[in-house]
Amino acid sequence: MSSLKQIKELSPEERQDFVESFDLVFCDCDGVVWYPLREFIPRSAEALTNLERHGKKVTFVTNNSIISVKDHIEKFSKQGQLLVHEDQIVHPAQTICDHLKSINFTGAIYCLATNSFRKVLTDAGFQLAEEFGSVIKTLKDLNEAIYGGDPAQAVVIDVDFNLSAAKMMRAHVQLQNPECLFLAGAADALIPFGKGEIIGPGAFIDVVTQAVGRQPITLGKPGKELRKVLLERYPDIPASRILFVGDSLTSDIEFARASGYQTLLVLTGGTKLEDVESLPSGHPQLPDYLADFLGDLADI
Amino acid sequence: MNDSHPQHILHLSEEQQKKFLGSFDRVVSDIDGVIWNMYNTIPGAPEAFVALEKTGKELTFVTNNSVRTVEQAVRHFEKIGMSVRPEQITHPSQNTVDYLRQINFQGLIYIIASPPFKAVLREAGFQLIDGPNEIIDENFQSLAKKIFDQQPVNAVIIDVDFNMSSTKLLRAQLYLRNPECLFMEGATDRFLPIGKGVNIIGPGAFTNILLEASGRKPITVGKPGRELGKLLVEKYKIDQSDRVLMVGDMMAQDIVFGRQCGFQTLLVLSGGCTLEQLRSETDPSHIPDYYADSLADVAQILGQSRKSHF
Repeated sequence: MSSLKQIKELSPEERQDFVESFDLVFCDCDGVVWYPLREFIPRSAEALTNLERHGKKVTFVTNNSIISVKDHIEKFSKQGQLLVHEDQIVHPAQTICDHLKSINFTGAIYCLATNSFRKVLTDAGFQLAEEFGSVIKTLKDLNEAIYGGDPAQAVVIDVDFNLSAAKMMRAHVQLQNPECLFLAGAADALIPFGKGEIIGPGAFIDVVTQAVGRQPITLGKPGKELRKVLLERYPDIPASRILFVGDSLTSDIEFARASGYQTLLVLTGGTKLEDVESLPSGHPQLPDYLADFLGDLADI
Repeated sequence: MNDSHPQHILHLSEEQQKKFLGSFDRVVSDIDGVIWNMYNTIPGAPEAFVALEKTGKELTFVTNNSVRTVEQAVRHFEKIGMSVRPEQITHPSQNTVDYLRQINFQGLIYIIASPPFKAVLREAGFQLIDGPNEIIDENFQSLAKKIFDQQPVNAVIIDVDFNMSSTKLLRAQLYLRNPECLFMEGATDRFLPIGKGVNIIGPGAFTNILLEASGRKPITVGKPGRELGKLLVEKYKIDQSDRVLMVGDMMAQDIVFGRQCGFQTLLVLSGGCTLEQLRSETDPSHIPDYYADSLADVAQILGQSRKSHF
């Protein structure tokens, strides 16, 4: 606990040092800027404005592809009176789409994700593989759901509210072709929801990964390929001059520390103070700084 | 018996084969991948069981497949020339009922399983809730409505469900937050062999999600569950476990189960396991005492031993 610095307890001098120690902020959204499903967390808009006033660039790194970039921007402007540009938002649908473009991918994509995610891919001109979504009554139905239709050249898994065993089995079958690309988005094992945590998309990605015996390219948090994307995004800014702000010890803090960023944990999301305090010193999930809420950055 | 290398029963000397055949009184056998697979009967398997029965061996069938009812299984056995009584067959749904009765379970059950599995529990008088089976709206509000239902669930039971979904698993995990809520699983298979060399993701992979998210271990009444072993020993009054031969096609289910019960074990390569997989297996609990290409090999040595006797 000794190395953990509370933002609001920093001396004026320490605050100055802290503010001068970074040029860029990577900031999570759900549980940090706003409560999932709900409105802005009080003073988070002020904090973001204050960061910009200090000349800091802010890029939002979210695992939420359920809300489109357009809706994200609208939420920032309506609830926070903040002008956020499209290129300030990094989310799995976009990073996966960028990746597919970068390798000149052609072919059908079997996409286990929400319609909002799928739209990003189809808007970019990619072709999605057929869906077999109905209720399975017989082995024949199951067989059709798993083996029917044309083969896909890529399998993409992100949050899918209607993810079924049959879809995962179909993904597994497609991925037995070693040429078939395997891409994953949001990969949280658990996600904070209500008073506790619910099973996250990472658990389902793991089922397919273990069945296939090969790892996906993971372009959502805490994927190592997303870390690479972020590092390459601002090649002129050293990692040590980047502050990563998030509410999850695994998807944000551990993820960011692996890149050498400074880290700030806020307690408005899935992590409680006890969770951090129980970590032994030197633990890879220990943040550099702690704040009750993002609003603590409004006064620096 | 050889602990490090299983022996192919056809490679045993005539003497050893005779000794092997005389070393057990009861055969506990898996069904799928041993007697039939999804599309056909495994040649020689029915003949092997008929011959085993003729030599006085008791036959018991322990399957992880609750999708097929006991009645359907009995009819299918009949069709391929075997007469098997319902009480010779045990499967996870029946074992679940036996276990719940044993502990005098009362209360509401949230179940993820096939319609035949649920039917067995309902007929036994248990009260079940399940689902959702419908497509849900793609947002967390509608998800929340489906999974936070506040019902007083006292047990979560999971087996094979062709309509397994992420929503069902999320809902199950919420009930399991209550430490009083029982957690039970039937079939444990990570893969389901649906033909030779063709595997689909099995129920064990989904149960594992619940196990990891809840940090709890289920009571397993399918193979290789310890509770199943206890139920079996009690039901068939098995007092000499080393005089039982476990036959199966899956190392992680059948062989592990057989070894755990103290049975002798015979792996057949007519289902979900290949010779390469057997050869590369290093975990002693997964390695059988004997192996055979299929039960036809058992039929063959039984035929030979009869010939040599008479």
